[in-house]
Amino acid sequence: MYGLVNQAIRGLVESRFGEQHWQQIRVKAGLENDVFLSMEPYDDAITYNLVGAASEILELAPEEVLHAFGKYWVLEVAKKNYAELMKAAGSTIPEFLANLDQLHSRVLAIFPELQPPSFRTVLIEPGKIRLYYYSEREGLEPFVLGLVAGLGVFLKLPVAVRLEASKGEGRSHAEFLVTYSEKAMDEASANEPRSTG
Amino acid sequence: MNHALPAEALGLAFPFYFAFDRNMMLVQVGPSLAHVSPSIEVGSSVPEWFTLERPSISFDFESACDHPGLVFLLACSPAEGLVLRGQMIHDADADVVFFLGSPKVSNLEQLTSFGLSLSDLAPHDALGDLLIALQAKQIALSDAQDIAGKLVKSEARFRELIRASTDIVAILDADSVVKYVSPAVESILGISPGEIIGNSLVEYINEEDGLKLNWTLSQLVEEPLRLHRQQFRWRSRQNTWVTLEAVFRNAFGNPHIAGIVVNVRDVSQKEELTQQLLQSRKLDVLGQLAGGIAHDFNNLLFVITNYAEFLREDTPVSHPHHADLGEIIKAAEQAASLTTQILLFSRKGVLAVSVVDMSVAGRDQEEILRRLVPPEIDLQFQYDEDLDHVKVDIAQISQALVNLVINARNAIAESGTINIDFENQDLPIDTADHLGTFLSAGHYVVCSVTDTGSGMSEEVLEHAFDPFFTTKEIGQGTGLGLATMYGVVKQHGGGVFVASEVGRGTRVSIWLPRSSELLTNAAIEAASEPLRGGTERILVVDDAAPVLTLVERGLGAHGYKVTAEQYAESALRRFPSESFDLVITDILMPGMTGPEFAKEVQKRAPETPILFISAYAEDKSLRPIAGTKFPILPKPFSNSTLARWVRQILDGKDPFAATEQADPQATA
Repeated sequence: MYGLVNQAIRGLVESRFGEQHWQQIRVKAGLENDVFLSMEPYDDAITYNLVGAASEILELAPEEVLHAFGKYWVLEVAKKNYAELMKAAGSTIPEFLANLDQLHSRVLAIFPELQPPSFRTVLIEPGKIRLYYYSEREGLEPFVLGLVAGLGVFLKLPVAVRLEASKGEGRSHAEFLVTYSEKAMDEASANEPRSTG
Repeated sequence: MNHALPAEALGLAFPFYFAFDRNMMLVQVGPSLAHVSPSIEVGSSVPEWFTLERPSISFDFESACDHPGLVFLLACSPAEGLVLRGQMIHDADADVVFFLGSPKVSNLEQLTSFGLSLSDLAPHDALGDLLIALQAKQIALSDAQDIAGKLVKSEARFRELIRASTDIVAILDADSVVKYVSPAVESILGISPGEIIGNSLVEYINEEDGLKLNWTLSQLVEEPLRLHRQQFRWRSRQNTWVTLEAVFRNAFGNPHIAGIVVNVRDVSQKEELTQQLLQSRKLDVLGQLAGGIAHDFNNLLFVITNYAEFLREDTPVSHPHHADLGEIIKAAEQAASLTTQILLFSRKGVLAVSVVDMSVAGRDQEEILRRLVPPEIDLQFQYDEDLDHVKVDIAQISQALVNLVINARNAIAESGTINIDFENQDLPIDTADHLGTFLSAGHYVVCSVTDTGSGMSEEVLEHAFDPFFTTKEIGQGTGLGLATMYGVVKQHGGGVFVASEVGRGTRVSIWLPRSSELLTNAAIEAASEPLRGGTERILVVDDAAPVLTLVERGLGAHGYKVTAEQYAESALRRFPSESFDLVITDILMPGMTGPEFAKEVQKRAPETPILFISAYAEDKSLRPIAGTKFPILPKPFSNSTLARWVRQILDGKDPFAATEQADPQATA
């Protein structure tokens, strides 16, 4: 898993619950060194252990923890550290989600040891997209839910996302239904400063 | 128009492509150009949107056809700053020129500033990868800076933590060579870290302790999980020994330390306090022992004195044995004086005040004080004529005087003099003494001890009265003498003045307020009235049979009807069926003590007066008595003294009050 994911976990815990809680979680997760480099790969077990420890220490369900991490990552970490990348990924929900796969594939080209997920979007109707999530990792659907929810806040566009089907129910991928306001998107698009012709 | 590649495919491969005809009119436009500006559309003029920056040729159809292979840079006017880079390819069949290229951008920010996103680039376009790689590099750099900043902060924090610690932290290797030592070493031991790092710890410590240290280190290496604690002495720059306590821990397995961690604390003061406490306890025990011996001795002296008196009374003056008996009595009185001083020394705490003549008290002390001073030191006493009286606990003041003489003696290296002066002094105005206690203006009796010793520097003088302060080595002095003395003097409403000069000597003066009350010293005899006896009934209780016999005989000789009991319990059984005019009881007795017995007698016969006699005025027995109306006659006392006291009490008078000023040295 990217270091940036573990950073997000630490950042969320420290900002919402305090350093003391982070230290408790770190110790419980068996982590001696809590310094993570964003674009470095780390053993997935670290992330899973941190989520488990956080769930126990903070007395939250693991799904709640993952959801909170996803949202936090977009709104705090990405916004602060990867703003340009986020902007370059798109300014609307459909565009951004459509670019997710390309974004991850480009990252893979640079960091071949990483195992980024794949995404595919299908426009069902205006304002409704089906998002397909392909990953070798288990149980991270809540994280994706948090990411998408956070994306809506980041782009200042109302969005709702729900898990329709999890990977593992005889399926190779998870499916999410993302609904957004076309009108709000159009208005936002119209207001966005672009080059003039 | 037919193309080998469908427009959709061309658009996917080259999203920023466009095609134009001989008239420089756009015939095809790639999908991403529409994102730059929707106005760039088929049918519009190429020069309207693009300006040729490179190569330096005219921008027309023929030039485009004539320069295949050249890299063209086209500035895109709708997006100021956007430059497309690519090549011109002439499709002869369609007679159009295709521009195939992509934006020339160096970072994502630039891309998005044109309203473009990564999806505007072809999926295979390495430009997108490059831009992301550049962003990733920036993120990594940012990470590194962030981590470096945190590291600096963390290091600074732990460095300050170590610096602020009052203990020394060090790392040794297996040969006790210091690899690291914290800055506290400088404030505690006066040596800088640079001076000690690289050297063996053993070089700085006491040799004996060094051998133990080597053993400790070898144990540590063999038993890494244990903590080892050891005290050792460190030679300071002032060439004194500083006692340090260290805890050693094997941290060879920790790659960040790879050595032995030592936490060191200066315990010199604690060690000194421990020694002083031990010394103080030894003195307590010694005092108790001395008191016990003096008690038994007093009883024996009582017997010797009184029997000698009896014999002398029955021996004619002209008989040679009369003088001999006088010598026996005198020797016994001198011995009694000595035991009195020992008892005074062993007694502590309770103030049992009485009005005393300090010249008498001083003379009583001379003997014992002389014994404290070696013959090389000349000890002189001087007393003012008509020295005023003071109201003091003579035992406490005597001990204070002993402390001063001991200090004076210790200040004299080989030979010298100690003068002890007793004089009347007036204080014209309220004056602060050495420690700032104010003495009211008035009349005082001053006892000064002046020596020709080494004197005290200002710094030593400043701390001389601090508890446990001493300039002597451990074991040579408690540091309590002057502090205790000052406390005693202050308790009496007095003060202490000190004058000292290094190399010349010291003068310590105890100022005690004069008392205008009449003398109450039990050693003073009222000699003007002739000794009178009586016929009253007296009960005497004392566990020492010889004492009982003597008292019974002595009082019986004066006509009194004496009943003697050796135990308080049996004496008590005589009440209330029998009545007595006076009860005389010893204080310290096995079983029921004198005070307990007195209390029971008071319940049964509240009007009966009680007189205590005692050879051992130890605290524990005296405390219940202190403050009561019952007088105490300390042993040894002469038969006549006892008779005089008995008569005073039976006559309802205070036995402490003398009927007139008498010669202090008079004895019956």
